[in-house]
Amino acid sequence: MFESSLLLTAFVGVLLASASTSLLSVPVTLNKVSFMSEAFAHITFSGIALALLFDWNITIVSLGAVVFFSLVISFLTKNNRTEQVNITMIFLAVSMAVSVILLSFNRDYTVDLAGYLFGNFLFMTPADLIALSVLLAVNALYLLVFYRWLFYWSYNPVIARVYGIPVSFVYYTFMVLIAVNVVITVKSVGVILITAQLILPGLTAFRLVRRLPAATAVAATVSLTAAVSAFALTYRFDLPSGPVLVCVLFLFFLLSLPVRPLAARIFRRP
Amino acid sequence: MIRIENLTYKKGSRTILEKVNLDIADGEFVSLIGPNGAGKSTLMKIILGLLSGYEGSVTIDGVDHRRWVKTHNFGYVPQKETFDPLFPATVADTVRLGLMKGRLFPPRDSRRRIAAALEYVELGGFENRFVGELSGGEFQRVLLARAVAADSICFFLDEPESNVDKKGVSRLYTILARLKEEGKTIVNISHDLQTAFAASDTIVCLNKTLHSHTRPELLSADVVTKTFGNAIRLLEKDHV
Ligand SMILES: Nc1ncnc2c1ncn2[C@@H]1O[C@H](COP(=O)(O)OP(=O)(O)O)[C@@H](O)[C@H]1O
Ligand SMILES: [Mg+2]
Repeated sequence: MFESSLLLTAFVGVLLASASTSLLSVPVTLNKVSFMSEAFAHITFSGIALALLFDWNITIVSLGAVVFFSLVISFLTKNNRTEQVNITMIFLAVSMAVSVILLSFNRDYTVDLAGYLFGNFLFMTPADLIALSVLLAVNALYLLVFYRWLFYWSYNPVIARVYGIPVSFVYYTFMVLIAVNVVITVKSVGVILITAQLILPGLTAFRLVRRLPAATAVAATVSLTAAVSAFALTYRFDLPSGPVLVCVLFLFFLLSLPVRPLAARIFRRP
Repeated sequence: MIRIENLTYKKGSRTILEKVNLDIADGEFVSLIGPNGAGKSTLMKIILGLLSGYEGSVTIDGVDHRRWVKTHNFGYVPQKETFDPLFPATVADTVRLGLMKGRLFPPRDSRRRIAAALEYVELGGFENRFVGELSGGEFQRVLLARAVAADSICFFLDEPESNVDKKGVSRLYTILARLKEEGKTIVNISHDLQTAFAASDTIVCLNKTLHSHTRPELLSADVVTKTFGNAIRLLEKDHV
């Protein structure tokens, strides 16, 4: 089926990345923190630009930058939702500006920047597969262990705190986890499109089911199915892989829209 | 015992609470009354350790309240528990929070304890209902069930009668009376003076500072008028 090990690596990579992000997409949707992931993605791009300029390791530099700034943003915006949106958007814009300035210093890159912006499955390396596998394990473990804390923090952070849930711990660790996911999965759909991958599976799942475990299962299924479809489409018709994946995810979301009203109609009591 | 001494709380240049002194005994049913903006909710949040930066001291059973809340079970029914009505939480999920203190996973017997707490507030069998679909009175009782499940020795309620119809209010106070009989301490903020007067051991009149702290039958109309400003005329004779 796969003509080269390159394609196989790409295929396994996109499956792993999709599984990882789909797990997080349920709590991300519940918390409405997708704008945070958007900012982390742009900060990731500054990290990439910086690494390219000085010829450093891209993953390590962007991981350092994004973990540091995710903690800074989380700290600055901990208590106020309006501030959270505004400050996060400032970081988003400024980090993009810084990236472009950094990139302007050196024009002859050997790296395809579009791949980092919009993703390119073929950029995946065997080392990425190892990082993605570790990431998937970390995500799964985090959700298994902290599922209840995350749930009550999303439900109402003040009340959760009153009843003894360590909400600060949940908040910071979850933000850092989102940030790390953005960096490690960057070759899947790139920094511009990552937010779509972090919310569409969760949104689609909540159109179909309401309980969290079921929603997680549906999100993972949707995400993996989309990944396989996107992979096939990309190489059958020679299309850009990341954007195709996002469009397929969006298509699934659209298909899910009429499901609940339809089900209500079919199962309505006479 | 909850002991508040010389409590002053400022927000910017505004003084919200000034030199409040108040003792609440174990097993006492206290109702806090006062006009909107009097600082009642603020006082409750300070006791629960949700606000910092006050002057004075708050101790519970002789220890600083911030330490007490970490190690004791208590219930809180806030004035307005905000959540997205589409948030996928069931009644059981909501009550379960009362069992989560210091735990990653709910205790083994949580299903039984949730059912018992729901029975206690007369909502047996409501476990799998989504909270967004409950009536105001049902939701308030779910929040009370959460406090009951937590094995609370002290209940803090902030205007539990908001969004609840008259029948619902009397059901709520019946449950509170039962909790009091079991020896629980109840700190209740209320705007339903008639019901609160009938249920409480003590009425505390608060408007920025403490105006009175006494048994309902000893409270004079003058004090109530002073607490509320001119706005009040609704106190019924047999409660004065
Ligand atoms: N987060 C806040 N920031 C600034 N002022 C506040 C805040 N919360 C309450 N206040 C003010 O503190 C005063 C007391 O509020 P509150 O304790 O809610 O009163 P009550 O519960 O008695 O109606 C009010 O004047 C209110 O405007
Ligand atoms: Mg209030």
